[in-house]
Amino acid sequence: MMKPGIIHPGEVAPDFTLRDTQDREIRLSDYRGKTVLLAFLRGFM
Amino acid sequence: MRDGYPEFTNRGVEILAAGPNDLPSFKRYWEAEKIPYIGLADPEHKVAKNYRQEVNIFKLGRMPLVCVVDANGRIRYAHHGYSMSDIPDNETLIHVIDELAAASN
Repeated sequence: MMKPGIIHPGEVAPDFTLRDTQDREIRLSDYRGKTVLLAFLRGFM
Repeated sequence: MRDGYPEFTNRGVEILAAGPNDLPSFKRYWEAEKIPYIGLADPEHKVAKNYRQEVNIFKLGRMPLVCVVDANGRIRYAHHGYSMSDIPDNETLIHVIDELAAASN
């Protein structure tokens, strides 16, 4: 049973651009052709 | 994920970790902890919202979300943590990644 309101396998991963710790603009779609492990952390202090 | 980093890179997997901290905190943390994969600051939670990362107001924070995205940009695995420490173990992730690789050959 799938829980509504959350992201599920089969969906297209929403593309994004974010800045990384080396000041690079990282875009998810730049990694087409590769498997990506994408983690959303809870944050740290 | 960090302990298993070579297991992922050996399989050609890129690891991206996004979090709600701002970029200066991200840089400090990544440097202090010597984290080998890409760290992405998402201080306005824009991307986290697009991925519908869950926020538990009773547990005071964002719940971890781990996805495997295939070579075509499609989500093939998603784990929504129900507590701060609820993240899938490396074995589970490697298994998913190996199955994907086998299916695409």
